[in-house]
Amino acid sequence: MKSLLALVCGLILIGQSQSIQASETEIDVHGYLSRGYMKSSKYNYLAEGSKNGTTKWGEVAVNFGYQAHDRLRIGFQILARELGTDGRYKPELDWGFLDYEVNDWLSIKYGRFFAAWGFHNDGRDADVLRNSILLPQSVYTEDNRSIALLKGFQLHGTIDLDENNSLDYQYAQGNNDINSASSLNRDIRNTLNAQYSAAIFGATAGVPGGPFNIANPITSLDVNMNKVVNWGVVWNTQLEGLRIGYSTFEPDIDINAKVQVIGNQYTFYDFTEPFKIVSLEYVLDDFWTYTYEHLSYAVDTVTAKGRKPFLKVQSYYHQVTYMTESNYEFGLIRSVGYNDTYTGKKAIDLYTKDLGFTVRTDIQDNVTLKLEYHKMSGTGELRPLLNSTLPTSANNLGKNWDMFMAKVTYKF
Amino acid sequence: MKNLKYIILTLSLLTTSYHAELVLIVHKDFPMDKISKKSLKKIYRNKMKKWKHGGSIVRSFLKKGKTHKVFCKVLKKSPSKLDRFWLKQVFTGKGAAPESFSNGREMIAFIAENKNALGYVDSSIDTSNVKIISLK
Repeated sequence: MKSLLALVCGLILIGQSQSIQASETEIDVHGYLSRGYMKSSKYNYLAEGSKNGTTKWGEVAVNFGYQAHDRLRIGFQILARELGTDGRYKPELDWGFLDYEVNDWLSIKYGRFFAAWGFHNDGRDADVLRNSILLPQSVYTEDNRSIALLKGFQLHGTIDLDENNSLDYQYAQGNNDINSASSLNRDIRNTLNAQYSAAIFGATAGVPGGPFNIANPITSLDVNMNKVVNWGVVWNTQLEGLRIGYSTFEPDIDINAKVQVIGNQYTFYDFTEPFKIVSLEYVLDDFWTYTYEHLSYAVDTVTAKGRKPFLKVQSYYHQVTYMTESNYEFGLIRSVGYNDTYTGKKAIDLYTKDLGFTVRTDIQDNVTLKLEYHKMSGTGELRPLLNSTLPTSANNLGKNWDMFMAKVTYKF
Repeated sequence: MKNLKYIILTLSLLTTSYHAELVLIVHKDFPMDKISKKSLKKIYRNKMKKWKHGGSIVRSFLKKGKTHKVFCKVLKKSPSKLDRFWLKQVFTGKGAAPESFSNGREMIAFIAENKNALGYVDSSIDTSNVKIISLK
């Protein structure tokens, strides 16, 4: 907590001196601090303790930008975040890259950057960039936060098709080590612990002293994302305000686990259908905005025992926002995610439907307040790690629940 | 007289009345006399970063006020949306936020010192230290 306090004080001092630094060294310094509260009516969602209400939710970020040359921009952002027990305000490099402009329509980026993934992936860490606190979880799940950042290179630019049409494009190749403290890593560990625990119990039934009941047999876990190919295009149409996008993200994820009793285990996540995101946005008079995005992908797991279908996901959201001239912005969102469409099952633990109402207002130039309410149905987005007993169709714990969120952000 | 000529030229190239309240300004040595509406939009949407004759474009904004609102209408963005757009550029590493000023005189003083700067002020302000360019 002391280190967080020091970090916050440091950032505020940096923020206050940004103009001096900018004029003397031409380094731009910006950042934000945010603190949120979430309360769920039934289950822990995203963060431990959210069932009872938690304020363990916030971000502290500072970024530096430098125009080294007419054609070369350098920048990086340090982010410390907390979501329940994730993050714990440990400062990490969020993004950092060199961006070289070859010509009007081609630039090359090298470093760590956000992948092309719908319209909003690149701004997902800074909630001041959008109407809602969280991006729609059907397309921008917190788990995917870890994989939607790449280390590698990216070609990007805008091509003018004619006077009123243009095409933004991005093509990237890279990889990413999935942080061992990330929620994705922890969820994979949790799932595999359960699988290997059952396997050890079964395999040792006949041995002296068996069967062995080991709850968490994994002693170490490496999750690596290799050879990602990622590209996206956004067509800015001649109809003012209408843009249409498509992006695709094809990773290879392999998992090396050291497991008690049964030794090293290797699992390969084979994306038989890569992540594909279709996006559409229409802005009317700059006050009304309608957004639709659809995500799909399918994964098989490949182990020494063979290939097995693991997940097939179809998710989408519709969002309408209205910004008033008096600095309020209201939003209505319908976000739907199906975790497994192989069997056509509609069990409550395989989907999440979210109907959300959001309000945003900028209290001062640098301070934003957001409030939102979500009426949830289904439990597909609930993490087993956060809930000792998850509802299913069989145990009748209930598919309907509510979520309230509030967040304040200071930016400089 | 020269300023008057450019103002008249500007007005003649624009169609709606609200445009008449502002003029685009650059450094006195700036080599161009006019800029297209498309280029202006691209510049303030961070899609055009360099002048054709060379040099990084230095954008500038008025923080608020009627002139800024008029300018935002030219760009077909509300002031709030334009702010948020530049916030996104800053927080995603895509670019530096434009220089921002509380009033037109401050902006003129800045542009008078920066050869690659572009800005806008109310047409009633003294612009003798900078050059006015027209919007075609």
